[in-house]
Amino acid sequence: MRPHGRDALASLYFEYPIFDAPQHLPATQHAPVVIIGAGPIGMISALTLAKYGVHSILLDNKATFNDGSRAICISRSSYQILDALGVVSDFCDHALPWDTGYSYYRGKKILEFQMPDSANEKFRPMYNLQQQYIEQFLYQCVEKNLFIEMRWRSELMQINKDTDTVHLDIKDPLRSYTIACDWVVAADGARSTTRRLCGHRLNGENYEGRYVIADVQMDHDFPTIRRALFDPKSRLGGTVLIHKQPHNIWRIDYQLGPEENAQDAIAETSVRQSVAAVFADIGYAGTWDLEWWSIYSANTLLLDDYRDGRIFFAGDSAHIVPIFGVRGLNNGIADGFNIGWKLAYFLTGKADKDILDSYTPERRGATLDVFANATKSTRFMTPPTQGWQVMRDAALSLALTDTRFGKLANPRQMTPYTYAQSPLTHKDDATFTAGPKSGAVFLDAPYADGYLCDALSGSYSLIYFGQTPPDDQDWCNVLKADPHSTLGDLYDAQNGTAYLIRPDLHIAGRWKHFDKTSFDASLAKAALR
Amino acid sequence: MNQTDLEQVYDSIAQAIDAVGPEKTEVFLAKLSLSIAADYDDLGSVIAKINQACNDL
Repeated sequence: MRPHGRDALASLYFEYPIFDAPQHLPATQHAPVVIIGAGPIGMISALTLAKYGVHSILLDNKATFNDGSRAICISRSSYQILDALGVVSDFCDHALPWDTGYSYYRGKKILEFQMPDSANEKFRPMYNLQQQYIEQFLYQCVEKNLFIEMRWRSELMQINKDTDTVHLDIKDPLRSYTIACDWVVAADGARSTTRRLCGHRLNGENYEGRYVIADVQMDHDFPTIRRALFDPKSRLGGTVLIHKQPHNIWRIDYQLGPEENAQDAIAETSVRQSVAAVFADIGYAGTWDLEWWSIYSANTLLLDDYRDGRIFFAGDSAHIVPIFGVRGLNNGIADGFNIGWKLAYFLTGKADKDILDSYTPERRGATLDVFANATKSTRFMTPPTQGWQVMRDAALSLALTDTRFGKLANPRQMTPYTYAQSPLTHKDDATFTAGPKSGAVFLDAPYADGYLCDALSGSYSLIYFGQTPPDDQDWCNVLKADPHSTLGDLYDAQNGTAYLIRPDLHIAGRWKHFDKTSFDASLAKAALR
Repeated sequence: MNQTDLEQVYDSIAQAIDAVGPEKTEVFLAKLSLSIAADYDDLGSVIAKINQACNDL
């Protein structure tokens, strides 16, 4: 919602472009892949397919980007994906990197947390950037990409599936028509039309706690540090979160009390009063302007299967996660990248169809892992019962004089899921005492003149520590590394150690002592041809 | 006690409070405090903890 007198898209700092439906369409309507939804997840899927030379049609029923700010935190793992797709530079130029959070109880600081970071990594642990910029920067790459055909204002009306083809009935302001395609990626968000037309529903839990989310423009002199205020004067018994975004925009999330009526709470006067009260808490006395606000409650909801035959669900169409811990966008980006490279590998003849079977276990597993972590954060942020409430209050009260209890307020930021059980993952070699495990996302480190992530090319890569690596394979790049280097230390390497890294930067397998037979078996394991 | 174990304790007590219900919560927490204190050898530090718990309520 926006203040009285301003249109839905009248932002204080962002000009929403208005896109037309396509004027002309090709005579035949067939595509290997159609992606429903041109939000961040749909565009990541399309850009990933395009990287491997796979054409897609990208449809969106809107005429512009998602309005309002929505997701703002982009994790390091997502930056690595953006970098792998060659689209990270605009993000680096505009986003605000951060690694620190402060938590306060009744105005006193009880916790300072720091996310792991070092000069060994190319990217910082977290970046703040408004979602409309995320979409704009991705769209600038989509628009130029010859493998992607974008169609705005194009609404999915009906789906007909037969064994080999999916027929999608599409309606835009100029026409109705049908696209025949081999595969569909449904990235059409929390209210997914694809999901509804396929007759699927999300299952899981809704939490009681409600938050108002407001973006405010102000010249507030405070670094990019996430602040959580527990039981502040402005909101007795409740919680407030404060994030800095580019263009002097600040995100204020504040919890509503159980007695507060949602309708009254989102009235503009009420939002202005609540935000002003938060500013009194943080000592900001300057002017400010309200940009946008919304209301939110935490959910843990997901599909039983992220795949329905030739249709794959990615992002919010497959799962809704609580905001605490910034996992919605980041897990969606990982979904889009995951299905993107697997479909591309299959469609370009590099892998068997079996590779597609790994999508649900890997990405649904990631969602369940998110739920386990986010449920803990959510219980702390919005205690669901008297028991959790009493314990939360006790921990916060003790934290005023004892830092051990402040750590219970740690929000457990997003960490990428380890695909330990995936059919594509080798059993971990237990002789390692450090380094990324089989199935985990790779760990960045200095390599050659840059970073390891710069040397990973989009195919499988084998990092071999030592002087006598195996020959380059057509399915796998071989990179030689020094066991006595920072990279070697971080990967617990000795002469003859090797790590096999997948195109999506997860570890497929690792060998303390490289084993050619086991390495050759990777080919079959990954369903590669 | 390490952080993971402390979190486990936190979760278990929260669930126990819900399980015993609001009328019995006080007695439950008193029993719990007393039985944990009984395993302490040092009276002074138990009294210090009682005082600490009185603060910032």
